Amino acid sequence: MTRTGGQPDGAAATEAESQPDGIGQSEGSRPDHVVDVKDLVKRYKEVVALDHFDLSIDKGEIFGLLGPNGSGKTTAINCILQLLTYSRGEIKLWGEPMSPTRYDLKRRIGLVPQQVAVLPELSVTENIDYFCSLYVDDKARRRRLVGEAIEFTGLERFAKFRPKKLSGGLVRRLNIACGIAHQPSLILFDEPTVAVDPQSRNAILEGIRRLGAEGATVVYTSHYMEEVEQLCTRIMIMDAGRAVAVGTNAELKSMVGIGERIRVELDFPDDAVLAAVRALPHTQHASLSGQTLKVACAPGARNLADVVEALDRADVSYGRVFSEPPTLNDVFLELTGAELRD
Amino acid sequence: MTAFSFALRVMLRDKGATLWGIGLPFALATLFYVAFGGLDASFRPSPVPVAVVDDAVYRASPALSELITATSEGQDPYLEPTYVTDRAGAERLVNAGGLYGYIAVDADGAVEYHRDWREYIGTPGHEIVTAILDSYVQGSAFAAEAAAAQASAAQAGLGQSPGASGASAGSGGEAAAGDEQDGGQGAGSGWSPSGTGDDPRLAAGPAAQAAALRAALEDTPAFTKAVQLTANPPSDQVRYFYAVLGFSALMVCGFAVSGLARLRANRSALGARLSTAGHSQVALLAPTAAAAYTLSFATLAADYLYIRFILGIGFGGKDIQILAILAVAALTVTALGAAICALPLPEAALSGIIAAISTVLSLFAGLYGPGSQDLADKVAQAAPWSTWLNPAREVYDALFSLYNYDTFGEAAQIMLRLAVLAVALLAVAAVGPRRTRHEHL
Ligand SMILES: Nc1ncnc2c1ncn2[C@@H]1O[C@H](COP(=O)(O)OP(=O)(O)OP(=O)(O)O)[C@@H](O)[C@H]1O
Ligand SMILES: [Mg+2]
Repeated sequence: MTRTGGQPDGAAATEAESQPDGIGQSEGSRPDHVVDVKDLVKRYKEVVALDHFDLSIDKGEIFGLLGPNGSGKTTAINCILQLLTYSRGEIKLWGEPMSPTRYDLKRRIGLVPQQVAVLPELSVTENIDYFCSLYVDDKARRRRLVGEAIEFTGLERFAKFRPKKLSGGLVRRLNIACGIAHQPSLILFDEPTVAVDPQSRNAILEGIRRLGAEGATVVYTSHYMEEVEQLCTRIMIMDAGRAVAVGTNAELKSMVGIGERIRVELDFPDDAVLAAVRALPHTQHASLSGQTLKVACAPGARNLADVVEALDRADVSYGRVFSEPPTLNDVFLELTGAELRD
Repeated sequence: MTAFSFALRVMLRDKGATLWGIGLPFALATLFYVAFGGLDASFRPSPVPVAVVDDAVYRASPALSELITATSEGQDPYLEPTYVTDRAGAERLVNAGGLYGYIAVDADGAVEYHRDWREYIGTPGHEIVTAILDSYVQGSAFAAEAAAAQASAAQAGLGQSPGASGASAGSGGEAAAGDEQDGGQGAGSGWSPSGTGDDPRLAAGPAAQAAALRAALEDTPAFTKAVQLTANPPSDQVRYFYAVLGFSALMVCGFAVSGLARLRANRSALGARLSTAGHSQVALLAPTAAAAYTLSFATLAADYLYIRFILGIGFGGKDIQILAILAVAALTVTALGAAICALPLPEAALSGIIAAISTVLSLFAGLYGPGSQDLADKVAQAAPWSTWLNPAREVYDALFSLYNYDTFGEAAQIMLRLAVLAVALLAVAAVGPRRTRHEHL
């Protein structure tokens, strides 16, 4: 079963309240749902790539599909785009049933495929112009759009280059530019930032945020948790073709009942300290490894303060204290029993 | 329009497609040209200088003298006779050089050709003279019987015959069918179909024989061949250039493959991406197919013009008709390219397939020399339908027929067959993707 974030707790409260309809709970397709996928089953011979998969995405969301390799992210996107047939299920876009010949719906979508798909014979500018021309007839408008896409991906210096002369990361940026130039209202990014350097990656993430702010709906797949965490307004964690959990970043973390991870470098580690920390109400798990005390907390607003207080009360001397918010990896670990990181 | 121009740009920049489609045929044509070295000398329809012993025996064979006169008159004469009164004079002239040999009639009325062996060996000059004389010998044997039966009618038409015959032979270099027609008219004036019951041997006179010879001559392959030798490059060699055009017609289907394969949704990430762009497959493929066609035709036309005007190889001068044939052939091979793209094979395998198809089918268009030409002719005879499936051979045949016949009928038939083949291939191209969809991405 898919776990959905619905019981706001602690830090999650504010975000959850801003979406009063709750998340992923609605039955039936709603008009403001841009994407509605119901009970999708996709098999490749023996492999079940999507196993009764549901997905609904609202207008303006930056929706993250997070999952390890082979979890079915690309398959889900390709099914939505009707690139694949599926044995079962229903896909609606903007409330309309999607089919291979719904060209009107397809024209409102932009795709940044996982595999780079550009024409090697055309320059950067020509490539973007070519893809844009599939959607936009007006030459002048296209020129403007191409310029914007080049700027978006920071390819100004390489405008005249053919893809062969571009580095791997630059080609991926071109791949992005080709997918977004026509200003689609729904954009599907399938791991767009693979091989892109951190600086450009940040620029791209910033750009995607801007696209969202301008009203585009974004689906973003990745197995980079940090990226998804930073960028996405809502996240689905996928595993083995199923949606394991859906919710905002905070909701997902609260859902599995984990709070921050606290590490303390003790000067003189002893078991009394451990006992004192374990006695705290929010401590789920505490351990000593060498000089370092590790405390895993349940969600709570005062976890760090409580731990520090307890240490002071026990009169322990300590050096540095680290507090790390829970990561999606912790969530994934909690939900599936496996690490998301490989 | 945008899609069309993008498609053109992409295909022109595809190094493989341009190298094989444009470069190779040009290279081959040039190669053949160089291999046949000094072709242009034999291209000139220069008359063959010979001496003719104009003695009493010669004058007793009016058919021969008339034939020689006829073939040395008109726009494109084949012979340039120098008349001498006896064999000794002829011998002297030949020995002095500048002549291919001399023609004389012996006491029995048999015609002889004494070639000058020292020079001119390997040039078509001797062949022309021999062909003319051969046809005289064959024709006179035939005429001995045929003309005899119709001597009186022949006599009536003979007066105006020499001029007509000269004109017919003069224009005959380009078209044997023209010869047939003109010859038919000539024969019509000289030959009455109403058979007389007279004994042929009684009626057979030299004049009748000459008329009959002229008529018979038109049907003689050796003569036709000789006539072509002068007006156009020797047909054995021009065959190679037909074959080059046939080959290049197949190679240019690389453009269609280069342009179309990548667009197929089931072929590549690019194809998949394009199929999400909100256009039907047809709308997506059509501009590229049109561009591929344009490029294919332009390439074939350029190949032809190169061979015709730069290499200077005459094709019989029917440029418009030849371009029309190439235009239809371009359609067929574009469809062939589209059909190849529909094969469930990886994109990388496709250029290999084009190369394989082109080289194999060119074998049956006789691209690889006399052996392959013989084989091609044998196969074409044994299984005529096999040539219908071979655009290279069809192009070859169409050009060959245009070269040899005045009428456009044969070539038009071939064009029709090519068009039918194009439709069939397009059907294959259209049905293919329905089965394979995008499923194996
Ligand atoms: N063409 C195919 N034929 C057979 N199996 C496939 C095919 N494409 C994908 N699969 C299988 O379907 C499952 C889902 O694959 P998918 O590509 O959707 O994963 P993903 O989440 O996009 O992974 P990644 O992060 O590696 O991109 C995998 O088990 C994969 O092996
Ligand atoms: Mg994927």
